[in-house]
Amino acid sequence: MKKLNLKSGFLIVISVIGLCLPLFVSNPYTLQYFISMLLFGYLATSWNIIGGYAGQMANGNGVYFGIGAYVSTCLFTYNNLSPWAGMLIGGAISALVALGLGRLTFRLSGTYFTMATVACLHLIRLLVMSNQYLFGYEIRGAQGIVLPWKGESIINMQFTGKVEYYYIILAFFVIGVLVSYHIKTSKDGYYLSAINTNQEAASSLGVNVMHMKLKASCISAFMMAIGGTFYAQLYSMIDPSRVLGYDLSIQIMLYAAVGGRGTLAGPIIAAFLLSPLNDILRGTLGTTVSGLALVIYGLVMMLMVYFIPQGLWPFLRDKLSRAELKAQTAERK
Amino acid sequence: MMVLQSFIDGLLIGGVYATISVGLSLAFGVMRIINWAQGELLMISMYIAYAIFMALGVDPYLVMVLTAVIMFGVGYLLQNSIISNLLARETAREPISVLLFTSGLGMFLSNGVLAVIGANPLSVITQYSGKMIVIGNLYFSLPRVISFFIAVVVTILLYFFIQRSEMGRAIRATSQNRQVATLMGINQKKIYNIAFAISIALVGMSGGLLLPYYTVSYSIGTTFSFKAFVVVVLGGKGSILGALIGGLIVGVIERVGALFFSETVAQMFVFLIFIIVLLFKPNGLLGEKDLQ
Repeated sequence: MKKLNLKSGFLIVISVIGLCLPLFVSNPYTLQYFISMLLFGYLATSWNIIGGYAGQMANGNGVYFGIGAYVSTCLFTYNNLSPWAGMLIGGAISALVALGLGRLTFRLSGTYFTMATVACLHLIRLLVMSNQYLFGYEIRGAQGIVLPWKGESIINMQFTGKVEYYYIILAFFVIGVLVSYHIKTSKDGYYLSAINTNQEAASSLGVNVMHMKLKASCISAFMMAIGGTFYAQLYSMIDPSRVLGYDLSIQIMLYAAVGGRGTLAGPIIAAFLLSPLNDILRGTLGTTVSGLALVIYGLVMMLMVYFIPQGLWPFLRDKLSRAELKAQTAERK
Repeated sequence: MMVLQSFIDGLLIGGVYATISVGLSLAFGVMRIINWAQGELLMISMYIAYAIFMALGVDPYLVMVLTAVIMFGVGYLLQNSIISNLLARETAREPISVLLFTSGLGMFLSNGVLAVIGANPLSVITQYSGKMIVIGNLYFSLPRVISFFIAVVVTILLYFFIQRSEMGRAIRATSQNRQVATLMGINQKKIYNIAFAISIALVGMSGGLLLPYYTVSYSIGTTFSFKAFVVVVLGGKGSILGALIGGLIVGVIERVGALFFSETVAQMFVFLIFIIVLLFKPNGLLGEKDLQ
């Protein structure tokens, strides 16, 4: 009972801080750090559904982020469609692509699925990079698209300040975490975790492995695409090397892996700790030394996998519960 | 005539795709791991070859040998001191920690090069650059022809090494069933070290082969990784001849496709093959069925 109170108390404090943050942080640059923390927390949570719960290493899942960004941006720029509707269409297209890739590769060993996601990412980046027009939309190849300013409004998801963006991504983040929590604690979550632990055993006990993996993959892709739309609206500009880059995919996977794949809190903690690094380094060093944050990320990833393979959050939780146990036994004595 | 020219150009570049992929396929077959940093290690190999060439000014194909030897050492060390420990901890059939580790390594390498050397692409001018072999109406760039022959000969030599030598038999035995192989007195750790070192040495060699006619920059890794995956899937995992044929096919499709359509459409064809093979022949052209 005591522990439960502690946990809900912690959640309440965090929620209050999250909701009131823009009241204290007026500097848009600082608020930007928090926006990108929430965005990457949201993306890592999305990735965790397929990569963590289902254990299918989707190395190229940034492709859905890119698809989401491009679809909603094209519809917004050329068809005047609100990004709120565009993000659903982008999400649906992403989920369809995920369905196709999954259908092809899930019956093979997991490595093929990973290769297929990376190959798909690479192909779509190439496609976008080397075409001025795609499906009749002017995407301007490697140059990318600059979103036109259509006036500050919620429907256009365009604002002059950062505060509104902060609240939007906060809402997405909370919804993403709730979805992730729901999946983890529902029947599906147990199926997925069974597949992750031992696919053959799960299958022999009547779990429809293919169906479950496809479901996880589609949900993850859909959520990823919505993140892409938000990114496009926030920065008002997208180009293939940014939203369809391989490094972005690895970065998202890295947060989940470093924090603890398959746990609810792990990916969020890692994203909150690591993603500001990128902005801070860029802020202090400028563009003179590009790629430095990613060098550090790569290093962190290698060290973590080698020394704390289970991830940061399970490691800390383990340490905490051991300390608690020790305290309890000391009390009894 | 144009078609024939493109076809042969495709074969020439395909030979180098083959050597890059053979290493990937070998490690995949023997250890069930994919080295996700394969493309980035190729990029590093090209920079090493570039540095050696600039420092010593020797023949680029001698540089290739040196690069291959250096990368053999890198591969051996990487496997012996890090990946073997990761594998030892893994109970799952497909070691995820190796995937994560090599993904991190790839990100570290490509961005490390970007931060230290910068984004400017580098290329060298060798005594072979710009030379052509003319047969009738067909023109072949000399460095491409030499690279092709070296690539194919080395791949075939490796095939015979794996098929005939004692070490090769031990590698094959380990890839078929590691428990039984261990019971037969094969030192699994040593086999893994050698297999991985060969895999990375081939990448080093490919770096040397590409240097005389290919521009190197920090970001070429993913392009080559993509092609190598397609070749491995096409050829069948663990199959050396499969990777050779797969490499040639991918090269030809790229060149001939680019002639009729565009570079991008050609890449889409390559991806299409990937999908078709996964659909109809998931074990690849020459791959064996997964026994485990």
